[in-house]
Amino acid sequence: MALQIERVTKQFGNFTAVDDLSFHVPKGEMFGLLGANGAGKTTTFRMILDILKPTEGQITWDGKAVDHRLVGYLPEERGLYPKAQIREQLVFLASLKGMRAAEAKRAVKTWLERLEIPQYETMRVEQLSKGNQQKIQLIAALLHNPELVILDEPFSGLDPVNVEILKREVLALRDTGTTILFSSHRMEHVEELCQHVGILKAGRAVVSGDVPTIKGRYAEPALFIETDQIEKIAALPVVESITPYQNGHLVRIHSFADSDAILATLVRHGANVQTFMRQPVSLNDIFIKEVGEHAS
Amino acid sequence: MLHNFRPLYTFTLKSRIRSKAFVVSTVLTLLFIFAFTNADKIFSVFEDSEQASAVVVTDNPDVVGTLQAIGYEDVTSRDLSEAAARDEINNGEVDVVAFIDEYAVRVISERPETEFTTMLQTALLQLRNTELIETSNVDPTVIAALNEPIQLDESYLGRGGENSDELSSASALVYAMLMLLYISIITYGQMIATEVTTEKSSRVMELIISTTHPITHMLAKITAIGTLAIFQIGFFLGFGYVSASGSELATSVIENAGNTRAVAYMLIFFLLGYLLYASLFAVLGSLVSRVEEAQQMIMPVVMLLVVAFFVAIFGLNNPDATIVTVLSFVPFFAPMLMFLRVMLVDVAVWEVALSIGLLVGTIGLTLWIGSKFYRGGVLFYGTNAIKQWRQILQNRQ
Repeated sequence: MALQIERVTKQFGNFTAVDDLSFHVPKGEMFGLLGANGAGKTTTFRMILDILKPTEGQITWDGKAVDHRLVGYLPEERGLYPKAQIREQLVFLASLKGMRAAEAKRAVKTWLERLEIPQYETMRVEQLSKGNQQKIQLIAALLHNPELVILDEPFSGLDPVNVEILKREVLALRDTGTTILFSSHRMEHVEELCQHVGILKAGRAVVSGDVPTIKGRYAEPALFIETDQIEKIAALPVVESITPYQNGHLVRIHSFADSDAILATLVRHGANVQTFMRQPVSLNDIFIKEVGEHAS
Repeated sequence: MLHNFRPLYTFTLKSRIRSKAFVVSTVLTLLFIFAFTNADKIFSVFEDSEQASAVVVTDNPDVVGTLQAIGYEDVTSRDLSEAAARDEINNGEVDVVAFIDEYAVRVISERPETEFTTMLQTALLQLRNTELIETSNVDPTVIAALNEPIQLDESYLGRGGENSDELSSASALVYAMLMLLYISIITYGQMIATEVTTEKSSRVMELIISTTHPITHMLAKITAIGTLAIFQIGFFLGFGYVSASGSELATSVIENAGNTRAVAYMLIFFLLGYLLYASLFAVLGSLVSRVEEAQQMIMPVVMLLVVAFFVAIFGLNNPDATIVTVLSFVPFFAPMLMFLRVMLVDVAVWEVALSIGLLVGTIGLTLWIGSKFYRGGVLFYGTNAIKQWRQILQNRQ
């Protein structure tokens, strides 16, 4: 079993934020929830956390109602007391999840050292940079060893160094068997981290499943070719279209079986071929195709 | 339902006590109490308490002695011409010169010397009376009988005190209690609203609300700030008592504090009044997203409290007035007005019970309604409060 979202709908008055959404996250896996702003990601998370009640449908963990003590949550915007001491508020937040103070104190020390910021233990949140605040926020979500971790836009607004540190920790977390649900509008992060993704559009899941399967479904045979005589292949019947790019051309074809014939044609004409490769389909392409241009 | 009460309570109390604002306000209040209770001593330091140096020009050798006997020390008798007197005053050698002819006086001075002239009049009046009595051979017992004041012995049958002294000290206690209730509800109530709004604006609420029932959260906040209030007020009162020791208000309040009935009612109404307004402030605080808005939001409640306070001040002299009686059953006014009535007039037991019952019911209702708004309220970060309420209500459907 796992986290199960079954036919969940959430309405605010006449506005439907989440519409008949179903997906499940197997235990120990990482699930990426994608979607433009307002697609219903945060509302979905809040329903899992029982902050909001679904209008219809069911959310279960291991077949039972989700127990908040087993869930860790990193909200999209900072959720910390700006003026409280870091150790104190982390211990406080952990105690709300049923953790003992002494145990929480030890855990805070371990985590701060692991994230290379032990010197901030007694400082106030407002004194920290945004990246370091996000690290504290991550500790707040993970301190009580949750079984399910929900990360809402964990990488937004961070510099590349901090993104790497956070990614490293999230992967380490997954390797310990924690189930992770996270949202992002940065496709490359999702692609790098997740086995399973769901793409939301206006509260509906337009795409959902594991990454290779989805890619397989969306893969269209296309080649990326960098050459000085691209016009030599334009007339070939196997070529569907040629789109010029910065330093090459995207050539859509009927099937990858035809790529040998295309290369042969170029060589026969004595063309100088610098790049000749299969164009991989990215989540970004799929996202844009499904959600629209103004997504990310 | 009270799960997580303790960590919330402890954390709120701790961070409040540690905050700079708390330390600063405590120190300032202590300074204010010290200044207020010692106002007379402080003023006297800056006052020019020395008596003006006076010269009397007179044939009567008893004037100087009588003046000194009634407390004017800095006076001598000399023979001066008016011109010489003007010179000495201009040179600053003396402040005031009085030329006395029998019982008519001419005074020359740089500016009005009221203390001297008043005492001089008293002294001369005394001298003239003595002279008149002696020359007209009046029996001294007649004089004594003339000066005998009328005896007045009052008895009051209403509550609060059997004679005028007791009544005024009961009023003083009620007044002190009303002030205390008013100031502390405003101070600590605002603190609660700010506390909730800060949690909401810093989005910590999203972490808290997923683990804690709204009523628990509200109660933890209210109790934590309440604890702070009890200790802080107790500390201030103790300090004020030591600092004021001996002042009239302090003595009469202390006298009454020995009265267990007064103390019991005070505690009950103080507690209920605080709980009612505190829960209102907590709910209002959860409806706005920024601390500046919280101030606006609680304004109507503060106005309500101001009205209650003014009605109570009016009731201090008219505890039997119909408006006081009627409003003493209305929960928002009851803590002040029912306490006032219980202390100053006869009130039936059922009246007190009804008033307290209504108060408790309203507190429960406020918390219940608040918990409905709370979860919805903390997730909306809009600026339009009314639009926000509508959204929250729709969300709860």
